[in-house]
Amino acid sequence: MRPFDLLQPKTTDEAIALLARHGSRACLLAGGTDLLVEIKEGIRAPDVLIDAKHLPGMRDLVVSSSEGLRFGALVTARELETSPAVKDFYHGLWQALRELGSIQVRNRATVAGNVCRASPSADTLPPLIADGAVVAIMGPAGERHVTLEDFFTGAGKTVLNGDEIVTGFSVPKPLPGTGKCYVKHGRRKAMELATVGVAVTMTMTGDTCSSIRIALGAVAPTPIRARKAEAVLAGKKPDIELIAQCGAIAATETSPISNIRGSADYRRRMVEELVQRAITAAMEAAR
Amino acid sequence: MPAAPFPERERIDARDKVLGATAYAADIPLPGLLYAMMVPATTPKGRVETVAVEGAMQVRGVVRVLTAFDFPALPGPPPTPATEIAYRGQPVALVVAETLEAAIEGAEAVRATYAGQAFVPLIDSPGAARELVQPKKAGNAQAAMAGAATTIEASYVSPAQHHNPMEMLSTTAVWRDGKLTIYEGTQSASLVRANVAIALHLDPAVVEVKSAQVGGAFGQKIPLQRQTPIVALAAILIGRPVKLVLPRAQIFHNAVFRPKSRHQVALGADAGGKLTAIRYDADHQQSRKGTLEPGYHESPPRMYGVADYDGTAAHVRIDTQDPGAMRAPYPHPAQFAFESAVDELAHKLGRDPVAFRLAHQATTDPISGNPLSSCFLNDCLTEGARRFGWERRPIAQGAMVEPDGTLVGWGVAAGGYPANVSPTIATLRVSADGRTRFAVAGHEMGQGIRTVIAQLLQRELDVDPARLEIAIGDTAAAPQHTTASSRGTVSVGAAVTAAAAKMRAAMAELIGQRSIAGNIHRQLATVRRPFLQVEVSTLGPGQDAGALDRLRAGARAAAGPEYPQFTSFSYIAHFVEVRVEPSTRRVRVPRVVSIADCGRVVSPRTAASQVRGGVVWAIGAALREETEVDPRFGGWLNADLADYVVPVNADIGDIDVGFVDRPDPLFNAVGSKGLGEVAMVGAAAAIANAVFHATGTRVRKMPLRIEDLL
Repeated sequence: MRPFDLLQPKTTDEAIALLARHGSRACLLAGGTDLLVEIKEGIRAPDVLIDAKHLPGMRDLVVSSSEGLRFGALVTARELETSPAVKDFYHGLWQALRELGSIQVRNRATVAGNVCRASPSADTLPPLIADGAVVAIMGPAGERHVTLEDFFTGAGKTVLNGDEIVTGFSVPKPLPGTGKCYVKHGRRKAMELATVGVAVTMTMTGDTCSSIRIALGAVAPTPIRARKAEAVLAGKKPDIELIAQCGAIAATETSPISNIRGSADYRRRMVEELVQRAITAAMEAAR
Repeated sequence: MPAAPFPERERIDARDKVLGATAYAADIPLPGLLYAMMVPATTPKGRVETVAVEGAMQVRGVVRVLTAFDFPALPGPPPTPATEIAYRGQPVALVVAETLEAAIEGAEAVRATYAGQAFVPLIDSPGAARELVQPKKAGNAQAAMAGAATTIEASYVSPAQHHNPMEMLSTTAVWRDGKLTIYEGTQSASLVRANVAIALHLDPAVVEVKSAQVGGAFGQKIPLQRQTPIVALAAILIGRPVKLVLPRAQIFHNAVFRPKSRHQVALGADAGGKLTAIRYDADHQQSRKGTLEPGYHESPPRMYGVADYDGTAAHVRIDTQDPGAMRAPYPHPAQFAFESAVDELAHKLGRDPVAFRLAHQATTDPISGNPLSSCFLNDCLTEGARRFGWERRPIAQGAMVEPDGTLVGWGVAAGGYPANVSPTIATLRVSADGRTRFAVAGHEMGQGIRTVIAQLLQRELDVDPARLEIAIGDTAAAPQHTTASSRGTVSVGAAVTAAAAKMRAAMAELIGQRSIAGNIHRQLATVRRPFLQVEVSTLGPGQDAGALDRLRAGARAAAGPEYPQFTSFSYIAHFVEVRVEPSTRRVRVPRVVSIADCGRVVSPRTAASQVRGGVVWAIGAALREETEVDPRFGGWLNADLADYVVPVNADIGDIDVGFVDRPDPLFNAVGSKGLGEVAMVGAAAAIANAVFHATGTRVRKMPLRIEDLL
């Protein structure tokens, strides 16, 4: 491993100033479950690591049906996973967290890291996008907020400027009659990167789908919304035909690659199938 | 008189392993230890022009950088760094440092330049050279095939796969007072000694190799490992102990691997539905100078008593590292092809695949013309079918469907593996104070050879099991044969039997007509003898004393499966249930029944574990594992455990293991045959056959991917 300087700022302003000073020579360190592996393997070679773990106010986790979900950038995947309220009200996110790496990894890894790494197959991104999560970003000019859906600009790329830090996330409270589901598809049952990830958050008013958000992972350079597929169901009474149509249209909205985990064609077919499964499961949960 | 069944006994090293107390080669603490890291070639073929080591030498803590220019010139392909690069990842230099971190940083700072050459990355690339080897034939398969009423012919493919034992490859070398001691996980301590001596121009007498525990081997640790003489020379030149643990990606690129192989199988049956002719051509990926034979005709001719067999085989030489043995090196891919083809023929004949196999009991080996020493494959099939509930299987495909649309399929396949044996030289010492020491050839690779030795010793002699020292994997204890090809139990069985008989004779002579109470230790104490020691040597059937000379020299000394009077094989039958999800086509294997004929089972506990492990590996081989090459760059693409996908615990269902447990008295006194390798053989074909039964789709390649079933 190449040597690097480890800087441990005590305030967010100090961290931002360090990022501004060191520019692309620096990487921000939270859980380190991706970053340290990549440094070891020579994929990244930062001169400076700015350790975010001592920054104040980033370990808060607030979740309830009335206030929604807010959590700081240093909250670990495992903390969220073991919160009963997250399981109840943000079930898709909870399902994604359960399948992220191993428990050992989740004890260290942060959702903020999963987000900022911007891998197209990252598990927590589709359910957070389906839930309408908003990212809080702090920079030299102050704080700004970006919806997670608009946060990604490409594989491994985000809207973050070099001197900005993600400080936390807020996710709207679930509306009554809302059901959520995340389906992760891989070859084996654990320790797997998603071949396809599908998240659905849908709200039912009686038999009618009053709103639906479908987010897909690992089938485009960034996680994406399947907006045309959503339009098929929004305001309608979902039946098997309509749900099947929704799956077929979602598949057309993707632009997957072929790699060792699956061909592009297989991924499209799985989107068609898994969107139907996720909608059905979310509908059942909504009742 | 063959041995009676052995009792169930727990592994003697289980507790230490569970506690993490077992010390492997890289765990040996040594004062003044230095750490090393290799620098891999970044070109797939060419010549090293320059190696700049200055950057590495400037890293704080780096002690020395060794390059090709530090090593003695050798005839033939050198096991040490060389300027000719034959494959991507070949060692170019070794950086030695005070800390592991400095060694890694130094290795990253070494800069090599190359004169690149055109290379052939794949067996189907232009320039891949097919090189035929001696065919294996019996009878007249051409005539039998021409007269067959029903024939099938198909091609099957087995991919390149890599070993990934839990214990990383490592070498620790110590040079002290003119003696070199090497600690590493190996299956061949004596071979390592002989070859390191040749590579470094040393007298073998000054080299000792210690490999008391090996964290999984399965063929990867048979040959001299690429790093061993390099690390040894570093220790000699620097005068301090040096340790190298290879990172996973370097293991993929430097250790032996299972070569990709292609199999063309044609079968013919007569009007009565009897299998009468086998034509089988196989070729496999081979390096330019590699020597692993394409020996795929070991098991297919010995399965079903077919007299007319036409086997041809070839190397396909390309630019890659040397392939080598990997669990059931020939029978696993060969039986995947052959047992898939048998299933295809049974299907074409409208026969139940178990009944079809049962109708072909083998009694002779068509290749040698000799009888088989024993073959209880039909017992395996009958007992497996009973446990599995095979009689409830509908013969039609796609006939078992769950309410949610899941397709269920049941498949069967059989396996065979040569029953081999090594000569041994062993020393048994029993002491009056209660200790027993048995030194013999053998390497404990997790298969449980120490437990087997303990089991045998306790049957033969009334020794105290709590104070038993089993000295194996150590060239200082006894000449070490290569522990491979499932010959460990058979070989030590002969050694223990002979040593115990000699010990009993020596005791009888010592005690004479007296009657002395107590166990053997107590008897020694009573007659005031501190200890009694005997040395024995054993040979395989038909071997002469030359085999012992080869054993002492670290050369190939084993025999089998063709012996002067008979041919000897182990057998197994696997029954598999697969479940194919209706839309994702994901294949699950919830249930397997495997019944083995390995002669007399010496250690029931570890034997069952061997079979379970083999079945798990076959599930990985059939559904997951493939090492891929990017033809633009050569080398291995998915050289880590994130992308080289093996099954996880949650992927494995119920595996029910049973044994025929009938001794083979012709083969040896204990009546045992090998087990480790045969455990895996045929299981991948059983999975593919079950998938065919579930879906009607015949997949003729491994791994069977979900896309293949869409």
